[in-house]
Amino acid sequence: MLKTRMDKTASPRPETLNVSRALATFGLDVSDLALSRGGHRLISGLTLTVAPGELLWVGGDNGIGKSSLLRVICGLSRPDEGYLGWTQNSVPCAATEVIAYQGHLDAFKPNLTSREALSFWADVMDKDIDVTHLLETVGLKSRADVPCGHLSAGQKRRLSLARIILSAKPLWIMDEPTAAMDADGVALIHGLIGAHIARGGSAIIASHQSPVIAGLRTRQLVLEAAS
Amino acid sequence: MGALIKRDILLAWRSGGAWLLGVIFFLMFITFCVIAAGGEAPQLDAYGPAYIWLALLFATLLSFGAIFSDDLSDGTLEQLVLSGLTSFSVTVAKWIAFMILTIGPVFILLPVVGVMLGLSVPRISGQALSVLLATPALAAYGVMAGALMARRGKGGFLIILVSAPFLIPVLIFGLAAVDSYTRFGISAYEFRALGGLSLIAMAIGLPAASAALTANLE
Repeated sequence: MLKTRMDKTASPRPETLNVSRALATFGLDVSDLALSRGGHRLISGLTLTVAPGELLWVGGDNGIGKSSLLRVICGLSRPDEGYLGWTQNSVPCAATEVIAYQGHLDAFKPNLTSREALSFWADVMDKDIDVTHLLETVGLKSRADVPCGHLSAGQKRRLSLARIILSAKPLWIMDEPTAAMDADGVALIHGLIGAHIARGGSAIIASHQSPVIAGLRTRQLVLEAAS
Repeated sequence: MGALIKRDILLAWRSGGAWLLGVIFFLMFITFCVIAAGGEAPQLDAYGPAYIWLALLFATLLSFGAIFSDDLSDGTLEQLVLSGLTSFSVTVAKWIAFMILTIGPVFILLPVVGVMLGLSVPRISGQALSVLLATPALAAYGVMAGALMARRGKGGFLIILVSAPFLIPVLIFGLAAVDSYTRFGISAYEFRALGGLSLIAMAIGLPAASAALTANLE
């Protein structure tokens, strides 16, 4: 009985995976940002803006502060100093209104199936979507009724990608999106990011290698240790 | 918020009985108390309500640690917050889920346990009523302690130290209420005190839990 109640959100309306719908314009402004972790200053004096249609790659060595920077941009942790602002249609707004985040943690419960997990997140985000179609988009259709605990690391990444698409937010913040991904998965992610940017979205990606996405110019932010 | 409560119930259902830890502990504790007291009817009648209250407190204390630790460590909390839920609504959802999943089964078993202990019907009713009125308080202090200690994972003893001082007034008035019920019925002042304690607990515990969650996400 509980299961059907969870599934209810999945059934009603087909096909509202608004890949073609235009996104609200938004902006991210960062100026003179400084942040530290565990008492150790990682980044200082960072100024940066991200506008619709941009892909920003954040690179740098392990432990240089890529993930910490992304968490600050998401509004999950506070910077030491500096200004950080998010806008939607030129009006200041909360980070949660514009940002979708894919961190190191997948946030899926081992006892829920992929379909239930996505239905839950759709429920939380108050989105009415066709979960089966979404699973198909990320190549997990055949795994829809498999508990998340039985998915491989790469499959969980695909599922968290589905959650990002589901959120319909304009700014995607992704920490190592291609980690544990096979070649198909990498192509899928790059294709989805490309499509997202083509309709006016943006993405900030932290990884070791700059993503190569056809037809897209990538801005680069490479963090280096102060000498 | 509703989605989170539904998910918690579904997860409990799938957990292979792990959510019944509290209620199993409750029953075992009562059983041991009966054995330790020698099973003599007069003593059980006198101390029965105390055993039930102690068993309930320990059973809930045992479950506080699990309220937020999983959702924090697997990244669910940060995704919930980024999905636009405030940490306060996450707290309230967890508070409701805790009342349903942990205290609910104990409450349902109360009459059975009362009969087992040979308590009179008025005492059982008084017991049920006092537990009912104290439930919001137990759950509110539970989510507060759980949120404060979420980073420490399950099984930390600190969570017991953090929540114990808040639970003592609930225990005192809860026990007094059972006795007073047999004399004054529902109008006994202890019930009003318990209701008041629950309101205070909600006013203190829920905002504190929400603030602790926000701090833990950093």
